[in-house]
Amino acid sequence: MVTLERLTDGQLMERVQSGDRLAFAQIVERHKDAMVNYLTRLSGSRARGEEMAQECFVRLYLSRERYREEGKLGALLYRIATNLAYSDARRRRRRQVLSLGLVEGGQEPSTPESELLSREAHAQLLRAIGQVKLRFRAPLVLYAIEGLSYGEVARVLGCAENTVKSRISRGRRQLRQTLDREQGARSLVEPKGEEVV
Amino acid sequence: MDGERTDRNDATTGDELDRLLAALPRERAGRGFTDAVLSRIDRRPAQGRRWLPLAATGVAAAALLVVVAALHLERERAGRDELALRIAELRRDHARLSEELRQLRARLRREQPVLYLGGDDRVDYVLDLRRFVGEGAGVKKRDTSRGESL
Repeated sequence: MVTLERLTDGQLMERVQSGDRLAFAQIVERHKDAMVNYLTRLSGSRARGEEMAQECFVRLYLSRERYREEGKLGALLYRIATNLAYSDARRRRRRQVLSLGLVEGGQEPSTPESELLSREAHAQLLRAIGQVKLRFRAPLVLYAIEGLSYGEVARVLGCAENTVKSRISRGRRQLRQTLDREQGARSLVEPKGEEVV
Repeated sequence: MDGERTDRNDATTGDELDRLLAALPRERAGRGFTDAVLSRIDRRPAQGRRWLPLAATGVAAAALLVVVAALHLERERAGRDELALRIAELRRDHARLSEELRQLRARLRREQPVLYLGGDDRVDYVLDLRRFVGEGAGVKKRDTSRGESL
């Protein structure tokens, strides 16, 4: 008897199409961390990321009959996730709610100073990612954080590879500008060092 | 995901940002994530069925609205027909009365305009109708009752 862990995504989806819920659970197990991470980075909220990731799998399940195996289940999931993030961003723009919870979900620090500094750096970077426009943020996160290639990002987002390269480049520029601004602001408010009189 | 990392190396050479981004701690799905997804799936068709009574109520309300509107329109149409008949009837009466009045006036002009009211051996009571030609009859009613003699 073949265990589900050994089956490919395509084989699992075939089983899902014939009503095998365990096969679907295996697909969720296999991809859940990637989806939660991607959607958390896109939305800037751990809770919303998890919520949208669940919805992402529900949508995959509901459209299981239309799934055609081409070895791209991961890309399909990223596409569904990206669409969800766009819808969520539109909804939030309409409500004019600013996304400020970029670092939520992290555990309270009870760690050495070096780790605290590292956490602060990460938090700063996450805040800056949240400032990048979503159309540049999505390809940048897919490429730099999720580790997809330009071609894979292009397939997920449904655009040309050169468009992806351009968007990633613009995303990096926006990210760098935001980080520079934050650094500049910090240097204005923080003391530069102790002066001995 | 498959290879295609050569372009990545070219594009990110010396770019600290990508390194920093890649070094970010990865978020992991919470405990019970898969169960939550499966329970959402179980709830979803139920949510779909919940729309059915709502949709049925909506259709029934719409049908009721159509019936009420149709009845109202029908009643309005019937009312309009009745009014039209009444107006036509009034117009016919008006035309008939106008014609009678015209004939009476013409007759007054042709004939001796007196109306015999009665009398005895000594006196005849008549009404001089010339005074009414072109005037309202009501104005002269007092004279009639007086029974002026010619």
